[in-house]
Amino acid sequence: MLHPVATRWILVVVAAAGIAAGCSQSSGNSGSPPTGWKVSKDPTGSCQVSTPADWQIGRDFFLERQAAVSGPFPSDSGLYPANGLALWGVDGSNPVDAGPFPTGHLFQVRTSVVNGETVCSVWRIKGSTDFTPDELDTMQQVGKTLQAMP
Amino acid sequence: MRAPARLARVGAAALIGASALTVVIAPPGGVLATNNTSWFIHSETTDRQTSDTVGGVTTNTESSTTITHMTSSDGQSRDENTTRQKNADGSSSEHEDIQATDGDGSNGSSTKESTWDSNGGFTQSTHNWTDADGNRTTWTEWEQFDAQGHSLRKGSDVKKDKVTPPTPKIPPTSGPTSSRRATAGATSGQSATPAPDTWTGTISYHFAGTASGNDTDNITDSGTYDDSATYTVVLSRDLPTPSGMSWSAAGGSATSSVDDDLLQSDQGTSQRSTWKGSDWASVPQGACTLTSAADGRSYSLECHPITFNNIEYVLYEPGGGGVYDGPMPLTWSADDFTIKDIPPPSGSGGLFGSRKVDTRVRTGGSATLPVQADILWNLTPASGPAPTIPPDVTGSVKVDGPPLGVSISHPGQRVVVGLPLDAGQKVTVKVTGNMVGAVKVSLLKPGGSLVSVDSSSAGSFDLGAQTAATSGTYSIVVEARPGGTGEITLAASSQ
Repeated sequence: MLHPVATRWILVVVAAAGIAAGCSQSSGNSGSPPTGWKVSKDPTGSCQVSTPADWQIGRDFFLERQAAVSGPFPSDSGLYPANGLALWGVDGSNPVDAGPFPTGHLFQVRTSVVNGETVCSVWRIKGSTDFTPDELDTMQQVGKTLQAMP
Repeated sequence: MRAPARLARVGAAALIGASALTVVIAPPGGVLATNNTSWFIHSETTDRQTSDTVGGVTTNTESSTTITHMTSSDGQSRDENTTRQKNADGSSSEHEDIQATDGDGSNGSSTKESTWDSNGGFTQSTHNWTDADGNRTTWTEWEQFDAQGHSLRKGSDVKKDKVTPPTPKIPPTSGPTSSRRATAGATSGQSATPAPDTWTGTISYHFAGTASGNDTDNITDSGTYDDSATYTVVLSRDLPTPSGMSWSAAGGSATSSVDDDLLQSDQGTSQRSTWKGSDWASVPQGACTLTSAADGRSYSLECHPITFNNIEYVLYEPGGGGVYDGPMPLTWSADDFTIKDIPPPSGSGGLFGSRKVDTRVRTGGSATLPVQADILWNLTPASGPAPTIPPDVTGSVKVDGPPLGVSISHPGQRVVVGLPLDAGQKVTVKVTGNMVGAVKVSLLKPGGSLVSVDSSSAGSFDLGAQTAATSGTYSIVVEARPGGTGEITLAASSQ
């Protein structure tokens, strides 16, 4: 039997692609992680987040970087993290061709930091029941440690 | 034991899907400000799959609903409710409701219906973005997509970070010039005179060189426009290729229909923009070639043989701003296809630099219908009396009291109805007898801040049930889509 946390949670950390390679100035919430938390980075090192030590990347959370999307307002320029159906792996084209819908009843909590065209995001997915207030608090703490280096 | 694996697949799919989306709609370049904004996002998705077997025939349908709430560190928020359905016959549909607040407190909302038929044909309902704070210069937009349609977009979304055009924008070629407001791209000799920041009226286009009697020869958009802003007309490429476009912009008074009482007018001509293709993302090697014509400004696109179904395309400004912010899958039944001889601009002005045609190809099926064209021009309405909008239609209703019938008699006129509430009192605003068409109905607190809002063209609909946070007189505000008039009935219920 898997650990209950492992059976109920997936955490996905997405770090968006930086455009300006070589720019080393990071941005983010710069919160201080609680004692004992570990630091994880995406494969390119552009995004960094601190999580509880027992969260395993790829199982309890994922890490990736990504480019910002424009919008969301048609007449309001700006850069934003992925939103809407894109949060669930469904793109904006014909639903028949857009890939399968995620099945079941799922909940997701995500924090994204937009730094220019770079977005670093961290999210968790939970099945059947919504996140508890404690779980949301933890995720907000994780989100506060998220940093993006464009 | 299978749950973690399934969730992991969902997480991975989310990664893939998000990546695919950004490939399509993210600006590929350009100088964009670093905003360093943090978003907290809470999303829920529910998938419903049904399978009915009648007379030995099984019909499978699938519907997915996603509800997302986003808030940012700089005061923005976005609530989104999207439902997608796949039908057994291959058709599908999507309904999207969005309410959002930008960083300066402006509120916006949008409702959009999209459908895809079993052959991949795409239609999208009127997509109406409006603002709720009276700052109409910010988000007023009315756009309409369909397979042979067009949209009118305010320039800020398509011209973001756009490089300076190599030649001036379309200058007016006729009409009064002495009182025309000087703007970027305006011809010399025009004087700078005060003009209203916004004006309500119509923009009409006539496309030269198209078949007589074609409904698309003449198109009219009605709305509220920024004075001297740049707008974009996005045309479906399956329209007959015009050799030029003439347009007129007219503002109207509130005492008569805008078409009958023109207070501002301006004339100008425009030509189709130049195209230049590149970046064939995901197109099979050798399947398509894109060449420039001898004039160096038009292009031809050839694909053969067709071994794929849907080509999706996105147009970008030279500087990287997205012109068309979403893919449009279209169906093409021929073995080969060629898009060619897009005429170069002629005459003076009208060249805004090259466009990039970015495509994606999906496997399965055979489809392609090429490219949209967009035409940019600069609106420089002549100065004149500011459009006059009659005062708000006012009244009051009480919870569980009699309904109130009101009438919007002039475009732009609002309905503001008082609703006294006690703190903790529950109320549902009910709309019936809607003869106006697309309306936005808002419930505002005594101080004017937004409680809830809904946009609909249905004859009857409700705002969601609310509980009054404070005692006082709340306001029910009804705003019609630009140009909309008619009767509507409002009531407040405790149920």
